[in-house]
Amino acid sequence: MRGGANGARIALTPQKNWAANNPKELAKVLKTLTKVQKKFNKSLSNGKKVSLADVIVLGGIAAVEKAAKKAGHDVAIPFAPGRTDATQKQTDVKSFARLMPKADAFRNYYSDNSYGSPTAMMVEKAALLTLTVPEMTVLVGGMRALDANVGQSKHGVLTNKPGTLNNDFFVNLLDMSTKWSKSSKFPGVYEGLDRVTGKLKWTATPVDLIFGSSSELRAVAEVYASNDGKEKFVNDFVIAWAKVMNLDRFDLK
Amino acid sequence: MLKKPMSLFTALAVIMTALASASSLAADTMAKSNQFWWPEKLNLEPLRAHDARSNPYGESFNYAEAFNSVDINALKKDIEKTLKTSQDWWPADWGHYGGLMIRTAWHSAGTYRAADGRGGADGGQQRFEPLNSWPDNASLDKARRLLWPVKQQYGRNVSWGDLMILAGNVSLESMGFQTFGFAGGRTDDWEPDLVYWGPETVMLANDKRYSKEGKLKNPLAAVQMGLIYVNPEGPNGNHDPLSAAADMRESFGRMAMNDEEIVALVAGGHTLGKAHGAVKGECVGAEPAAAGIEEQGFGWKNKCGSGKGADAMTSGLEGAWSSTPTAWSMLYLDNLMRFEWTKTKSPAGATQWIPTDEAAAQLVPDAHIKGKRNAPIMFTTDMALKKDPGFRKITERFLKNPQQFDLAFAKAWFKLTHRDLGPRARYVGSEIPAEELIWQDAVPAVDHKLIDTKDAEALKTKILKSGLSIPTLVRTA
Ligand code: HEM
Ligand code: HEM
Repeated sequence: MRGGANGARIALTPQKNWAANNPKELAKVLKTLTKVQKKFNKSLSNGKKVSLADVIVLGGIAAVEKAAKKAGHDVAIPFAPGRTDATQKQTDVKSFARLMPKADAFRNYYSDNSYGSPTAMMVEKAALLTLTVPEMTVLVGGMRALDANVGQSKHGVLTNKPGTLNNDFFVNLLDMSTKWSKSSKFPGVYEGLDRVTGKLKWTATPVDLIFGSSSELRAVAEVYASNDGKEKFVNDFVIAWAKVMNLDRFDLK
Repeated sequence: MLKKPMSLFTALAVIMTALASASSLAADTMAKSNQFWWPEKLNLEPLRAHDARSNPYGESFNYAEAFNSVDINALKKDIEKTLKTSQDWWPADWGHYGGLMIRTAWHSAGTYRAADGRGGADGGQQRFEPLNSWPDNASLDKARRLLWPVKQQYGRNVSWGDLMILAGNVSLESMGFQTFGFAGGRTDDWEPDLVYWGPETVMLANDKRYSKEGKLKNPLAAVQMGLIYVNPEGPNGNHDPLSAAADMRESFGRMAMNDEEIVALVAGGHTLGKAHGAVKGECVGAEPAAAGIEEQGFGWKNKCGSGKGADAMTSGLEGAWSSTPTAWSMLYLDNLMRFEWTKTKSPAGATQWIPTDEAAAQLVPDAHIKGKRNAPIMFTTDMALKKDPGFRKITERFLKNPQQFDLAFAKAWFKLTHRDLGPRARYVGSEIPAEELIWQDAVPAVDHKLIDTKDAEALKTKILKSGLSIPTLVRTA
């Protein structure tokens, strides 16, 4: 198992230049987070310190907690500091280049040099992350609600309140008032039209629509789209999120 | 396909460009199981099936308790409202989805086989492949989708397994029939069951399921791959009511149903609703498992006419059996026995039967077109209830004794839909019939105090001293 937040290699070559990482945006974010980290470390006494890797992860946690709060749910995501920052020297650029994401369904990213279809790559990635079917489902739905697509694309962001951690993705995906069809303009993209007026409501990719098309994924999507699924959705997302963030913390196990 | 280097932004615009090739690529690049390379190798997957990790509600979820918390009367009202609210994307025949829902419930329960207890409504397996894509389950994708708002409202407290059966009951009641009761308690599965449905690898094939002597091999109950029970047009479409009768006995028998139950079920079921075959088979696209992702779980897309309602295509047979298909009546039995029937073809080209009496052609109001009237129909399997001497005796008795027919159908329907749920101890809810039925494999209730641990210890010593050897005791237990 390789990759992960530990090492903060996202700030180094090659990761910082990967298309899936939005190099331009990433550079800005990392600059800000590094500033925060340095200032914070200066304020600490008796040898305490926080790594950039921990700041990045804590940033994600803070963002998810806030998005959950916006949806009316107070959640506390466990955080275990102790990640360290690797240096460029410690980074085998060639070897890490092999990890370049060719597809990341969680952020609705797919590129031509993947060896499998978008949905197959999603399952492959979920398997690498040791995710269960419900965990994979809730993570994709949550990431869409959080508006976390690569390049801020709106595909699969099936909500009028992007950035709020709610179950809109599932509710709207399974809503029969939307009729899906292939986009005539963008191959591989699908359009969700109002069944009555024909007005364009949403756009999505196969890794979104598969949660309504595959009978087994639909069964789980229904759980999160149900009236009693709102809170479960937030709780399950938070647990799965924490699991992914700590996957590479062999030091904790 | 595109193979030029892409910048981030072109990559976004064409994020899924590779898809057309990717889907064909998927099959080649899929990791292959050992079963693929060595089909004869022992496969242990069934023992790992239904892994608790696949259940979004977790291991500790107690469905019986959840269902018990539901107000069944409110739930039934919500279902009935759904039945009577026609949706534009699949308009209801005569404004009532009852027929469709009864068929959904029957196909959900009807996969049960007495020999190994496989199949049945428990688990809600009709949601998954292969059942959701069986030819015989055509259009039931629409039925489940019509029920989705109810499922969404009740969430974990009402399983799909229970909802599909209860919707059948509510349909019957909504159309004027008094049911025998309902028990909840079917826990949903989260993945398809691996069930041996037969040796054939082509849907509707049956070339491998009979022995040389023409006997249906155990434990199979359906006569063709992808059918719940039997071919409505007779064995292999031979249009012969008598051989259809033999098939029905064999098939229903595998579910432990006798002649009286067969007649009651088929006559009762086909008293309501209609068959759909208004257009040619070529109009209909792939089943759900093979349909495009944009179909969102629907299959059998019909490209002819409006593709629904008056142009709907399900089995290829077309028409209703009774002239009041949304009201419980004796009209199925009455029509069957009153008229002489002759073979004809449905618009889709399937063979069915209509009355020789031309006046009958005006009996049935059309399900969608105002003012249009049609002849009642019978399938070859319906004709079996009249032509087979054993069935005919029962059919005639039912026609003369409507109460007997009602009670027989009520009991057989309850058995059909509850058989697979197992012992009464699993029944949940407020509509459980008090009467015990023989097929429930009942054991008497405990009517005395139980022994405690100390007593058990003492008893153990006594048994061991009784002279019975260890192997004998083990073999007996
Ligand atoms: C807002 C949330 C997230 C952001 C901003 C984000 C960002 C990133 C970035 C920048 C990378 C590339 C650097 C690296 O490999 O370490 C990455 C990789 C990765 N991310 Fe995320 N991620 C997020 C959420 C998730 C979630 C929820 C999952 C899984 C459920 C996930 C799974 C992965 C995996 C497995 C990789 C490794 C790359 C690969 O194997 O293709 N990420 N993520
Ligand atoms: C010999 C056994 C049976 C055969 C071969 C058979 C066959 C069929 C077929 C081919 C259809 C037409 C489907 C369509 O095109 O829409 C149908 C409809 C129907 N069947 Fe049966 N059936 C059998 C037994 C039963 C039983 C036992 C029940 C329930 C007790 C039942 C209830 C129904 C109902 C209610 C419909 C109408 C569906 C609607 O209105 O959409 N059938 N059946």
